[in-house]
Amino acid sequence: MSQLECVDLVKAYGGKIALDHVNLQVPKGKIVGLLGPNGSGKTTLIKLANGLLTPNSGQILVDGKKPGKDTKAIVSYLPERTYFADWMSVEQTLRYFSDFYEDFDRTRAEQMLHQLGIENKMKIRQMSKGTREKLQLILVMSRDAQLFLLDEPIGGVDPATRDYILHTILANYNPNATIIISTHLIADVEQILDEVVFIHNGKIIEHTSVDRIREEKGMSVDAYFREVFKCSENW
Amino acid sequence: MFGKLVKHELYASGRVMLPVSAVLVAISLLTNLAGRTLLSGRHNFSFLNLMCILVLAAFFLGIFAIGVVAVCVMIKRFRDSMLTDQGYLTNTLPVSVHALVVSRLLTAMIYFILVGLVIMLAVLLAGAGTELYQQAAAGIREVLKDEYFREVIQSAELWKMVLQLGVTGMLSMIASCLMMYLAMSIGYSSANHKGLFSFIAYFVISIATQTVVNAISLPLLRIIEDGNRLFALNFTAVILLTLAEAAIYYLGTVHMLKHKLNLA
Repeated sequence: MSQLECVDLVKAYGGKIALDHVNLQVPKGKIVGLLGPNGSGKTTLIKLANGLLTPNSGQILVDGKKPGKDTKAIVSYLPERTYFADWMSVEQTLRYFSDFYEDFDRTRAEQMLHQLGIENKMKIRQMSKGTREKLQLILVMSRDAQLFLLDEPIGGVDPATRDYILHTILANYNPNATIIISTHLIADVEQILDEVVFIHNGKIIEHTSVDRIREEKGMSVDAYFREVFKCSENW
Repeated sequence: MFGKLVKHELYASGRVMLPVSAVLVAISLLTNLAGRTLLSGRHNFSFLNLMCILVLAAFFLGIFAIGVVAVCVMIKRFRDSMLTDQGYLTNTLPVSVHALVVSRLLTAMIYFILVGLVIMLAVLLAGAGTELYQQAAAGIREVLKDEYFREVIQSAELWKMVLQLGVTGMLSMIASCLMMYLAMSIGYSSANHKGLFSFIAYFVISIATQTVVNAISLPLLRIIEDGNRLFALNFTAVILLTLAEAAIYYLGTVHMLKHKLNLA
């Protein structure tokens, strides 16, 4: 069974189609890059998998089930936004995750926070944007979830933070879990990807393995992405 | 999980509500002191008198303000935790939408009741030991001595009415709260001007509710002639209508959050 499956999935906002009859199967135990330019439908797909949006038609399944209470327990989601109230302290965010997620490993989270020098009493409002993103990533990656959905985890942060985020993802990777990383910064993430899904104007235009791109096309994912999207400019 | 949701909600709202309650209690103690100073008439310092009057004004303003703060906190908590960036966390918790809505509603009710109790405590503290308070207590004692009033107080009818009033009041508070939740859920489902659309939704829902309630209740009033039966029927009708109102708002809110959530 696939970890994430889309069957003829359609999502429209008013009259604008965001996802157009998407069919996709993401296997278990892979790190998958969901790659596409801004506005291609990456975030919509991730929101649908999280149950934050409802499809217009077709269906999206997580571990064979429609998004709901059960799937939310096995999905660890990192949105683009800071989702903690700014009055919360690090300690309160740790307690929040411990209370609601049975698979949350508090010790692992505290170790990573300690390495970064983020103290438990520190408030969200005292943190820089980069530190907030690191905190959220640490909490999300400290879960033993089956599916990690990371929406633009490296967007808008400096290169050092970018490296730290990618290191954290790899260091906490459980080979039985699936990680889907949505981004348009391909060069930075391609080193950790097993598969890539190219999405454009709400349509999946390619789903293949990274090795295959390198072997068959003889180029990096980033170069191949540029080539594919150069051809599709007039779509 | 529901208990944990309520725990976190109580904490989040309590950050504002508990200090505000403590401030009102502190002002009521100052009011007591100010009242005694003014009533004694022994001090002629105009500055002191002015301060006492300001404290009294702060007390009455505080009583009004704590109610406003409770409503604002209720609205802000629902909006922030469900419909803005925090909604990315709240709406992906492994709990049902019902649990999310009910936990917020229950927390709001707990703080509304707390506010009622704090206001009563503040009034008692502000007047405790003063001549005015003693006169009021004496007046109540006089009334209680009256044979007719004692009969009224001991009658089951009165307590039934008090209970009905209490139930009606509580249901009305729940319905009002859910009406705001529904209005916000509708307003925040739009792409832009979410706050404005919430206001518009609130007024449209209010007018629609009033129209429907009038259409249902006016014919009922006409067919009942006997005064007592009219009164009894009114209470039952009001309770049933308010229950129906609350149920519609609740189901509407859950539907909007499940199917029309539009986090920016």
